[in-house]
Amino acid sequence: MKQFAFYILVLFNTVVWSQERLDSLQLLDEVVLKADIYLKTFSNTQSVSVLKDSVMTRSASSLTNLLNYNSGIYFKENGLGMVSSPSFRGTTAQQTAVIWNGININSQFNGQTDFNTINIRNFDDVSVRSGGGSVLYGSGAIGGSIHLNNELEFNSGFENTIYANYGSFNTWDVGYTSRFSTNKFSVDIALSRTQSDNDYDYVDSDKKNLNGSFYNQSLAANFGYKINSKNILKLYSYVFDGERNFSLIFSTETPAKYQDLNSRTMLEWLGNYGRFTSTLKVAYLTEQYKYFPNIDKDIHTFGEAKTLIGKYNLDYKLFKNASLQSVIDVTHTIGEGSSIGKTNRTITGFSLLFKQQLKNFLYEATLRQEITNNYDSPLLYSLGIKYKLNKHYSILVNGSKNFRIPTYNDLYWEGSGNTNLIPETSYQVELGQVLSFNNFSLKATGFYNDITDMIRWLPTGSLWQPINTDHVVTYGLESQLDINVSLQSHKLSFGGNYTYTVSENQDTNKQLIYVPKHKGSAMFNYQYKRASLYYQVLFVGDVFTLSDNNPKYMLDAYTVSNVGFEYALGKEQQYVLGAQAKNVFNEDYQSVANRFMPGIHYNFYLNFNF
Amino acid sequence: MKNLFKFLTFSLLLALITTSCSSDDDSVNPPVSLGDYQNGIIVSAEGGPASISYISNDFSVTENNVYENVNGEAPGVYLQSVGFNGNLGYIISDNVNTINIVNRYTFEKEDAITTGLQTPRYIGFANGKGYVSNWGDGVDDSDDFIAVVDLSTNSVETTIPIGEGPERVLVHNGNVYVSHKGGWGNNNIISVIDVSTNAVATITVGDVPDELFINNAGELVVLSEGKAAWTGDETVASISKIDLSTNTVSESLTFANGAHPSQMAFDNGTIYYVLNNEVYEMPETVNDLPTSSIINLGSINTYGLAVNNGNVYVTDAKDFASQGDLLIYDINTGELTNTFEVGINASKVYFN
Repeated sequence: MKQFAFYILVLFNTVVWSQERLDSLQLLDEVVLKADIYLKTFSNTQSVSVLKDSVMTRSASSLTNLLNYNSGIYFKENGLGMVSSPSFRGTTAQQTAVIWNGININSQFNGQTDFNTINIRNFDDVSVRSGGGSVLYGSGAIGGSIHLNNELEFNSGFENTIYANYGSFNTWDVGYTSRFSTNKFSVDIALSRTQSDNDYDYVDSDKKNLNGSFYNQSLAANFGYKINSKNILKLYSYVFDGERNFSLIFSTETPAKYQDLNSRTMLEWLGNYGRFTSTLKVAYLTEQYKYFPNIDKDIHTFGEAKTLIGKYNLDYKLFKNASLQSVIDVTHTIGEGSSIGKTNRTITGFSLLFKQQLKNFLYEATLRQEITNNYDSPLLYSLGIKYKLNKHYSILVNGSKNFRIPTYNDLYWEGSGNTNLIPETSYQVELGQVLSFNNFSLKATGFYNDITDMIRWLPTGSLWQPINTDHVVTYGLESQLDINVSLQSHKLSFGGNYTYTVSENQDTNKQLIYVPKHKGSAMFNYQYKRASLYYQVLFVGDVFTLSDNNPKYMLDAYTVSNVGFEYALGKEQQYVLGAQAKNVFNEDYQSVANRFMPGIHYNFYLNFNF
Repeated sequence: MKNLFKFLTFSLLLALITTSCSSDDDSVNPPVSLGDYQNGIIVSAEGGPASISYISNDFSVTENNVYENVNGEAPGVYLQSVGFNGNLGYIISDNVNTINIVNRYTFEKEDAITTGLQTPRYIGFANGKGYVSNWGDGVDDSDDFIAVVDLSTNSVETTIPIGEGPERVLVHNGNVYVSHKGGWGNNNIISVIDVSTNAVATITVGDVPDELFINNAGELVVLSEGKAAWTGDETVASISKIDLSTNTVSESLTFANGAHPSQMAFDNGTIYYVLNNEVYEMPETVNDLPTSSIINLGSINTYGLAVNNGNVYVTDAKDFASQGDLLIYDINTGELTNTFEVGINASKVYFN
C-alpha cells in the first residue's frame, strides 16, 4: 500500500512536472516538420484534406474505417477487418497510392495496399489528396493518394498518451505514444496493438462470422536532430506485423490465414542554405506475406520484396515567390515468391517542379520521366492553377498525366507474367472551387479521368495472363462541407463528404464492378463543456458485382450509423472517456457479396495524456 | 396343341396390351412427370456465385439458379461437377468441401456430405458406394485421396490415398479409373482402384490427363493436354487408348508441339475435343488426328463441351465475371442454332 502511494505520488509529480515544463517551453517557437513536403509545397491546386487526432480517436484503428467514414473513398471489405481495397474516384485498388512519410508503399506484388493492414494509431495525421499525383508520388497516384504522416516536433517538451479501446467481439485496440523534444532533438514513439475475435453474428440470420479473428501490432519510432541552424537529420522507422484468419462464407470451407510483415526505414538529411534547400533521403522498405490455405498446416505460399530508395531533391528559390525543384531518385527492388523467381528491378526517375505565386494567382507545373529496363515509361506531367477571387472564394484547375506501373505479379508470375506490359496511363482534368468563411467551408471538385491500357488478367488458352486491355473513363463530383458553430459553451460541428462517380468501361459501356455511383458520409458533433455527443453516418449506393451489370447480382445500398459519447476528466482534461454504439440501426449489409458486416456493436475507450 | 396354347396366350397378352394402350390414349392424363427438371439440359456453373441452370429439351422452358430457387440456399462455391446415380444428383462444390445430394428431377435437397471431403472434384458410383476424387490441400502434393461414400448413409466410410491432383472418375467393370490432371501442379497418371479390395494400380499416360471414357471396343480413352509452355517444360498432348486387360497404353495419338487440346467428349462412336477454340471430331476407330475442325467457336472463352443427339453444347465463360452462355451447334452443319444465358463460369453440361 505504501509502495502504491509512493507510485501515485511519483506519477502525479511527473504529470505536474511535464505540464509545467510544457508551459515554460511554449515561450519558444514550436517547430513541426513533416517528411512529405509536397503536400505543402506542390498540392496547392488540388484538394487535400487532413484527418487529425479528434477524428482518428473516434475511428477504429484500421485505415479502412477511418477513410470510409471521413472521405469520399469507397471501400470493398471482405468482412470486417479482412482484405480491404479502395476505389478512389471510380478507379481500381492499384490506382490509389499509399504514401508513408512521402514514400510510396503500395505492394510490389499486387500494386495495392490492403487498407486493413495499416494501423492509424502510429501516425500523427492521415491526409487524403484527391486526383493525379504520379509526378510527386509515383505509380498508382491516379484516383488519388493517401498520406500517412509522422511529425517531428521541436521545443514541445515531453508528452505521453496511453489509450485503450475495448469493444464487442472481444476487440482490443491499445497503445502508447510518447514524444520528447528539445530545441535540438526530437523523439516520437508509437506502439500499438489491435486484436479481435471478430466472431460477430450476422444480422437477420442465425449464421455468424467464422474464422475471422485477427491481430496486428506496429511500432513507429522517429527521431530528429538539428545538427546546426542549417542542417537537420531525421530518421523514420515503422514495423507492422499482422495475422488474419480469412473469414468463411460457408462453414465447410477450409479455414485459411494470412500474415503480413512490413518494415520501413528512412533517413533524411535536410539542409537550408539561403536560396537552396537540399533534401537527401535514403529509404529501405521490406514487405513479406505468407498465405496459409489451411490454418492447421505449415504449408504456405509467400512473397518477399526489399526496396532501397535514394532520392535527392534540390529546391532553388528563383525569386521571392517562385521556386524550382529538381529531383533525382533511384528505386531498386529485389522480389521473390512461391511463384516468382528472384527478380531485380531498378527504376531511375528525374523530376522538375516549378511553382510561382503572383498576388492572387498561383500556378505549379511538374514533369517526370522514369527510366527502367522493364517497360517503356511515359513522360508524366501536371499543370495546376489556383486563383483566389476574394478572401472567401478560390478556383482550382489541375490537369495531369499519371500512371500505374506493372507489378511483380504482372511481370514475373511464373509462366503467366507478361514482360511486354506497359504502364496504365491516365489523363485527367479537374476543376475545384473552395468557399470558406470562419465557420464554414465548402469544397466541390468535378473530375474527368481517361485511363487506358488498364491491365487485366485474361485467359490465353489454358493460361491466365495480364494484358493491357481496358479503357475506362471515370468522371464525377467530389464535395466536402464543414460547419462549426459556437454559442457560449455549446459547440456544434458538422463535416460531410459526398461523391458522385461514374466509372465506365469504354468497350462495354458498363459501370465497373464495386464502384457505387453515390457515396456519402457525415459526422455531427455537439460539445458542451467537457462532454461531446456525436453521430456518424455512412451511405453507400448500390454496386454491381458482375461486369455485365446484371441487376440480380447487385448489392443493395446501405446506411450505417454510429453514435458516440465522450467526456473529458481531470484538471487539464487529460483523461478522455468514450463510448460508442456502432451500426445502431442494426443495418444488414454487405460490402462484398456474401461478406456480411456486423450489426449493432459497442466500443469503449480511454485516452490518458500526460 | 402346344402351339395353339402359345398362340392363345400371345393373343391374350396382345389384347391386354392393346386395351391398356387404348385406355391410356383415351385418358387425358399425361405421362407421370418425375419433376420440373426432367427431360432437359442441366448446366452447372462454378461461380461464384455457383448455380444450376435448366433448359428443357424442346428449349421452351429455361430457368437459372435452379438449386437456389428450389432450396433457398446457395450450392456453395466452386461448383465443380454433378454426378448422377439413379434418381439422385450429387452436386460437388470443391471450395466448401461439400456434396449436396438432390433429387435429379426436382432438385430438392435430400442430404449433404460435409465431412471427410477436402477439395472434392468428381464422383463415380459402384456397388452402393460413391468414389470421390479429392485434392486435399492444393499446395500439399501428398494428401490427395479418394473418399469412399456409403450411399445408404451418405457418409465417407474410408479414404484411399492416391497421387497428386485426381480429377475425373469413371467406373467400369468393378474398377474405378481416375485421371490425375495434377491439381495445382501437373501429373501424368491414371489410378485404377479395384472396388473389392481398394487396391490402387497406376498407368502412366501423357502429361495432364483430364477427360476419359470407355469406347465401344472396351478401351479406356484419355485426353492428356500436355504441359503448357509456361511451365518451362512443355510437353505434347495426346489421346491415349488403354487396354484394360493389361492396363497398358495400346495406342497414343500425339498432337503437334504447342497444341494443347481440352474438353474431350464422346458420343455415338465419335470423339470430340476443342483445340484453339475449334471443335474437332474423329471416329473412335480412326488412328489419325483430324486436320480440319467442324466448328469454329470464334473468340469466346470456351469452358465446357458436351455432345448429344446431333448437337454440340459449348459453354462460354465470357470475361469470367459475368453470366455465361450455353451455345448449341448443329453437328452436321456446324451452325450455331441456339444461345441461352446460364450461370457464372458455366462449365458442365448434363442431360437429364
